[in-house]
This record gives sequence, C-alpha cells and structure tokens, in this order.
Amino acid sequence: MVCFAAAFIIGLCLQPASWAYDPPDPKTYIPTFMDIERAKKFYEDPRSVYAGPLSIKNRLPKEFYEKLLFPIEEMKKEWAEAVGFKAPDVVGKKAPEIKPGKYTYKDLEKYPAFKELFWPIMYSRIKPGGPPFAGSIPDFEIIPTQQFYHSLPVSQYTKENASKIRTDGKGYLNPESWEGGFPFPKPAGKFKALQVMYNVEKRYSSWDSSFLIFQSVHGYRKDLSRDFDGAIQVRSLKLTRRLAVEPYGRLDERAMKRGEVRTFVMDYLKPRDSIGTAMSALYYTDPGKSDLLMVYVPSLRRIRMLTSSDSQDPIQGQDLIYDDNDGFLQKLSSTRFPYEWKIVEETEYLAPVFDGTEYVTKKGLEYHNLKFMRRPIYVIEGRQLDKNYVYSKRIFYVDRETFMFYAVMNYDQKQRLYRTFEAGFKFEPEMGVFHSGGSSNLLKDHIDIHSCILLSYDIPAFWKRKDISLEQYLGAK
Amino acid sequence: MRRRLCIQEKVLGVSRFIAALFTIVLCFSGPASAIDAELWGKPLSFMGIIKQGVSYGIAGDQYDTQKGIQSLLTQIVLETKYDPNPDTSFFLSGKFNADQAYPVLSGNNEWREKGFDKSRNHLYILDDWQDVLGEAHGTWKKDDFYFRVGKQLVRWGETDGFRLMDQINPLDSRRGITDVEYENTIIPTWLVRAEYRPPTRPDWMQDLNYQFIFNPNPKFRGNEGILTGNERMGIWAPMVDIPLGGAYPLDYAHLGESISNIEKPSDFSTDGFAYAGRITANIWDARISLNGYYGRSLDYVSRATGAAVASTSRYDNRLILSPFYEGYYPYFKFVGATFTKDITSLRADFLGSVSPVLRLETFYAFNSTFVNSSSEYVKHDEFRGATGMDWKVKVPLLNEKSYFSISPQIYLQKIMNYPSERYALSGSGLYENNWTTTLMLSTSYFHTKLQPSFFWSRDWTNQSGFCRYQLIWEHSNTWKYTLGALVVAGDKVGQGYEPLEHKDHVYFNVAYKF
Repeated sequence: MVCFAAAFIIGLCLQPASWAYDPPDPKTYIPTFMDIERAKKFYEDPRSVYAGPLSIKNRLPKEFYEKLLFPIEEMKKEWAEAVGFKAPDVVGKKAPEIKPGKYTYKDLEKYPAFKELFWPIMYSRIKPGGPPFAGSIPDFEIIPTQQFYHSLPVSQYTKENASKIRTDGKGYLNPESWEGGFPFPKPAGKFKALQVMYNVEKRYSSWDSSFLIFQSVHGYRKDLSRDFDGAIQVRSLKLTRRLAVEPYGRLDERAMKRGEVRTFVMDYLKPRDSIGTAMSALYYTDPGKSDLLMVYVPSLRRIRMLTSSDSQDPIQGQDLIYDDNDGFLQKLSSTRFPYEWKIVEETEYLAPVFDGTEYVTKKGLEYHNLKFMRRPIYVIEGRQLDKNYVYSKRIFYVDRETFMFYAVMNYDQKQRLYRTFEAGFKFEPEMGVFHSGGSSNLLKDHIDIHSCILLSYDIPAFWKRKDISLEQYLGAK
Repeated sequence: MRRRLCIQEKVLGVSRFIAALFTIVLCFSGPASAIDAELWGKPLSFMGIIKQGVSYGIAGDQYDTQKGIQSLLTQIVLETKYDPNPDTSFFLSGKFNADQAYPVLSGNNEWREKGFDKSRNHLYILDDWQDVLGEAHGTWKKDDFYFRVGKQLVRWGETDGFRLMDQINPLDSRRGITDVEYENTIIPTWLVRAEYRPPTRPDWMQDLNYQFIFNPNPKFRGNEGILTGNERMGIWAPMVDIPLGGAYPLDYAHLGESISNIEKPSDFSTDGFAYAGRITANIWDARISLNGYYGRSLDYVSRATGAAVASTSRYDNRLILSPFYEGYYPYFKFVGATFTKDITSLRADFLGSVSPVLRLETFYAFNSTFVNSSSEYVKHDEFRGATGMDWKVKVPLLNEKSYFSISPQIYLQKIMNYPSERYALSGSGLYENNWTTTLMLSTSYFHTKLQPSFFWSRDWTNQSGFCRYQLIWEHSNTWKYTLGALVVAGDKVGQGYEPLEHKDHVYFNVAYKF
C-alpha cells in the first residue's frame, strides 16, 4: 500500500516533468539577420555560419540543446532496422574506379563514368562558371559514403507505426492511420513509388519543422547580372505527429480536432518592395481541405486572406511557384492534381552534402568546396494527370536511406524542362537531423533562363501558437 | 514667334527632365538594398524610394488641362526603423513631393493663360511639415498587449479603391487620381493605438484581436480632395461650366477656386477626438471583423453663402467665378463588419483550379450630414456595402505560364429616408442608391518582370468612369519602370467623373528603391 502510494506520488511528480517540458522562448537566443550576414557573406566566404558563435550548440540554452541530442550508435542501429539497410553497404557498385578524392571539371574527360555518377542536371553543372546559369561547379571533392539516419524518436515512431498505416485501393494513405514517423520506411509492392513520395511529403527535417530560418535569395538574369536581392525569416511550428522534443504527438487538443499539421509565419526582410510583408499558413492533414493562408501587405496596411489553391503562379523574382516551396509542397491527392508515380530507377549517384564551408564566387557564380557522396537514390517520376496543372511531369532524386530529396526537375505541359530545384542539406550527426541551414539551394528557370541561389541559417525553435499568429507577429514588429 | 518660344521652353523642360533622370540613374547605378546599420548594438535600417514621373496630356486643347507634358512628379520617400529590442521599435519616414512642371513650364504661355501657374504655391512642393513628415511612431509589445503611439496609418476594410470603413486616415488627392501610388496617398495621423490578443480561444477561432484607436486631434486634417479652379488644383482641376445664357464670351463661365470658410475642430479640442474599435478573428477559416467609429468625418459638407467673385480667363476671355462657401466637418458614426473567405466550391479545373476569395465590407452610419438642393444641412442614416472577389484564371492562349488575376467589385451607397424630391441631395452629388463597380485585371510575363494591368471604375449612377491601362517593367528589385494611360469619360454634366473628362493622359515613371 505504501509502495503503491509512493509510486503514485512519484508518478504524479514525474508526469509533469516529462510532459511539461517547456522549451525556452526562441526570442531569447535567436540571432539577428545582421549577425548571420556578418558570420558568412553571400559571396567568396568559405566560413561556415555554424562555426563560431552562431553554432547551434552556442546559441541554444544548454538544457534545451541536450534534449535534442541522442546516442549516435543507437540512432544508426534503429534507423538501419527501420529502412532495412545502411547506405555504405549498397553503394560503390557503379563506376567503382571513381574513388574519394578531389576532382575538377577536367576530370570528366578522364573519367567518362562521371556521366553515370551524376544525375544529368548535376552533370551539366560540372564546369567553370559562366552564363547562362548560376551554380557551376569547377572543382569538387568526393568523400566516403556514410550512414545517414534520423533522430531516435523518428526511428522509433517509424518502426512502431508503419504497420498501422492503411491505404485505399489506389495506394493513397488514410490520413487518420498515420500517427507519426515515416509512413513507408520499406516501400514495396505495386504502389512503391507513391509510398516513397509519401515519405517525401511527410519528411522529418529541420527539427521536425520547428525552427527559425533566415534565408537570403539572390536572383540572376541569363548574363548572370543580379536582378533580385531578397531575404526572409520563417517561424515554423509542427502541430501534430511531433517528434523533435517531448511531448511527442500533438501540440494541443485543437490541432488534433481540426487536423492541423503545421503552421508558419514568414516575413520579408528585403527587397524594399516586400519589406514588412508577412504571411502565415496553417496546413491541414486532409488534402481535400483548403489550408488557411493570410498575408499582411504593408502598402495596403491590411491583412488579406489568400486561397491556398493559388499555388501555381510564379513567385516574384524567384524561380519557383508556391507548390515548389521546400522543393515540394504539394499534398498527395487522388482527386486534386493527382500524379501517376513510377520508379524510373533505383541506383546510386553522387549527391551533394554540405558542411557549411561551401561558397559561391561573385564572378561566374561558381560553387567551391562542394563535397559529394555516393548515395543510394530513387529516381521517381510523377506524371501529372490533370492537364490544367502547370507541370506535366516532375522527376525527383530521393535518397533511399533518408527519403530526403536532392533535386526536382519540373516539366511544362509542352514537355520542356521548365524549373529545377536542387536542394542542399546539412546533417547534424548528434541529433539525427537534416536541415537546410549552412547549405545552398539552387533554383533555375530553364525557359526564361533565370537562376536563384538561396543561402540559409536554420536553428531549432519551439514556438508557441501565439508566436505564429499573424496578428501577434505583426504586433511584435 | 510665341509658338516657337513655347516649343523651345518645352524642349528645355524635357531636357531638364531627362537630365534629372540621368543624374538619378548615375547616382544609383547597380543593385542595392536597404542600408543596415547599428545603433547601440541594435539594428537600424534605412530604406527609400526615389521616383520620377512624367505625364503627357492627350485630351487636346482644353481649358482645364495642359497639352503635352503637364506634370513632372518627383517623389522621394526615406524611411528608418530602429529595433532596440524584440518588443520595441521606432519608425520614422519623410517625404519630398514636388511637381517639377511648375518651374519647367513657368514660361509656357498656355500654362500661364490657363492659370495653372497660380497653383504653384499649393502644388509645386508639398512642403508643409505635416506633409514632409510621413510616419513617426513608437511601438511597444507587452505580453498580449500592443501599443503604437505617434503619426501612423491604420487601414480598415477589405475593399480596394473604395474607402468604406477606412476612415481613420485622410486621403491626399492633390496629385490627382492616378499620378501617385495609392500607398503614398494616405496621410498618416497622430494616433494612439492599442491592441489585445486574448491567449485562450475556442478551437474554432484563431487570431482573435481587439483593436482600439484614439485620435487626440493634435491637428485636425481631413481629406485633401480634388478642389475646383485651375489656380488652386492645377491640371487636376475639374471642368465645371456655369451657363450664363449670353453670346461668347458670356455663354458660360468657368468655375474657379472656391473661397471657403471650412470650420475645423481646434487643436486638441475634445470635439475633434475620434474613437474607433475593431474585433477581428478567423472563425472556421473565414476572416471576420466587427468595427465601430465615432469622430469627425474626413470630408466636409459645405454650402454657397453668397455671390461669387468674377475674374476673366486669359485663355478664352470667359469669366471665372469663384463662389463663397462655408462648411464644417460633421460627425460620422458607424458600425460595420467585414467577411472574407476562400470559396472552394467555385474552384473550376478548366479555369486553372484556383478558388476565389470573397470579400464583403459593409457599414451602417447614423445621422450622416448632407447638403440638399436648398443649401440646407440635412441628416440621414446611410448604408454602404461592397463585395468583391479575387480570382485567378488560366488562359493558356494568352499566357501559358502565369494566371490572370481578376478582381471585380461592386459598391452601393444607400441614403436612408431619401427626400421625396428627386435630386434633393444633388449638392452632394448623391442619389438614393449610388452604384459603382470596378474591375482589375493583371498578369505577368517574362519571369514576372512584365506586369500588364487594366483597371476600370464605373459610376453607374452618374454614368461616368475611367480606365487605366498600365505596363510595369520590374527590371530588378531596385528599378521599376511604369508606362500607363488614363482615360476618363462621363455622360452627366457635372456629375461623377464627368468634370475630369479632360484628364486623359499617358504617364511614365522610373522608380529606384533601396
């Protein structure tokens, strides 16, 4: 009886301790945009933005930082069990004569097998810089393949919940049956390609989408002169299936009741025309339900509601549409702009891996210090079944081990290559987290001949709902 | 000889204009962005716009307009923002607004004969300190409370182009209806603004916000409307002919500048205070607001008080009659609401699968003041409502990459208990039901650099309206070029836009932003 009472009291004491962890207010540790611009300049700067005082470890309060760390070996083991293999065990079979080491564009002639080891759009970039596109790579390094993994909670939820997933006759996921983690860690069967794309759609990155990101965007005409200089900051908050810090699962009752997945608020720091423009979005699990989008237009001094179905118009100054945000922001649906997905190839490619020391030259807009790693890759093709959609086809290069994707090629309705998105990720080995901070995304418009380079700084931030409310956010400005 | 002199002056004017533009281009070549600095270790940023425009009259030889180059607007806006901590910020902006046509055309005979040179004191440089000082405010946030004190802008409503509930800041129309970007035509006012966002709300509601505005009336300012008389309003003076019944030049007279005695509330006087409150929230994914306002109207009511002063126009030897008016800014009280929602059921695949956003804005005003045809002040309740939609449709034949934005709006102003005699409120140009519609079309080409647009406004009650055709080339995020044309038409003499019928012009602007 005494033991029971003691256990009950201890339980009462422990329960709040484990469930009531209140992450620190991000506003107490996030840097300013100026801090970031000082830590790494946009051009000719090989410093990693995370090397000094802006490192995640230095910025985050100690207790909070430690909550984001997990034993590396355990993460490796759990994730290998979840997906059923380790990348180093499955690569090295294609063009084995190409070994880790430093190379230049001249080596493409010496080693014709490079053409097989780079996907076509990447292969076309291995050259000295010059018009018409930014992002040429005159020299690079190949580093040995390592095992990548996700954090312990992501691995555990993936393993635990994969068996609970239910799909319809066309392979589409019943959203209610997904309780967190990657829904299809071992894609297989008739709907394998669609399963991979579900993993892409529900990918866990950037501390489970709970972060603050500063992003600088430069746009270039076909003569590589700059025509756009923009910057944004985004506060993002995951609302359900949360796996970054406890409490896992839902943020609150309301998120569950209303089927809310994620919310964010972003604002423009430049260019001048856009300064003060702030946008908020609330995403729902149900692909048939319209997301709630609102924008504050400073020239009008008003908040305006937007329709989330307006997702195909070009975003000013950049080489993407709303659906291309983060590379792919569409919800998989059997009714609204459905795709027919197929796996074109399961192969290995040299994929870029970023450590933050990469840099872009001002002249020629070349990338230097870029590292590549042999990675197991799914090449997935999605044929759009609705002719009214802006793209007729999308081709994804998806990492088989992590379900992060490195590139998306989008074709217009005339089957011409229209826009490409080449993503960069930085991997935090002690956290099992991929994020875009310290890396670089390259966007291209192959019809209007325009390119954009995006540099980011990303930091974990567990916001409260009120921090993401547009009204509240504007009030803080 | 006189004609040759005019041409020489015009050439000189254009040369000066080109030289000014060239200087701006030289000074600011290359891409730029906001200038960021630090003050006591905290971010301080400077931003600005420098814009030079030229407009060219195409309405022919008319008394109320200038043929050829008629306006050379220079606008400079400088802004600075300082954030000493995440919850506090200060903002200051200054403006320079000048029409270089005044010095450039000062020797032009047509300009002088029509009396435009006499408006120079009012319109060459808007140099009153209240015009030069744009916004100047400090903002503090404490938990769920938010305060902003100072000269600021507060915009209400969901309608574009019409100002229904948007009654807190006055509007500046001294440069006409299209010469200046809309954002620069709202005049900041000294206000105290407080907001509160309750932390707990039911599941179906979010972004609940209470806003309270107090205008302590440090210096009353109403709308700067389009006034009569070339000598007052320059090229934007409305054309109003007063029939005299004789032979030329006594067939009709021109309406000149009104000699008005408009009573304003004195500085800081309580009768000039204004109070406004608004509650906004997103309820079931619809954005809703409830609004209330009590204060002085931004438009005055006025009535003629006696015989007019006459002078003779050097242009056509007709009389210019300048009437005497008296008036005041009456109280204006309303309660209203707005509603906005994404109407997913109207999404059509063949139109590009974008659902429209519906916007509604409406208010009911109590005891608004009007002037009837007997020059008496009368009071009536009034209802104003507008509905609009923002829709995007795909027309691959015309633009295979971008959508066309279509925004139609319809607006009704209804005067309650309208007097039985028809046109009884004609002094206010108002009927019992006053209908206006607008249509905005736009799209973009070449990686969103080329942005054509068309705007049409039609006052159905007064059978008048205007169209604006515009082409923007966004060369970079710093340089923007705009070419446009405005065409005004009206059928009812003296009503609606008809008095502005001769304001047709084409315009070209170059803007540099940093």
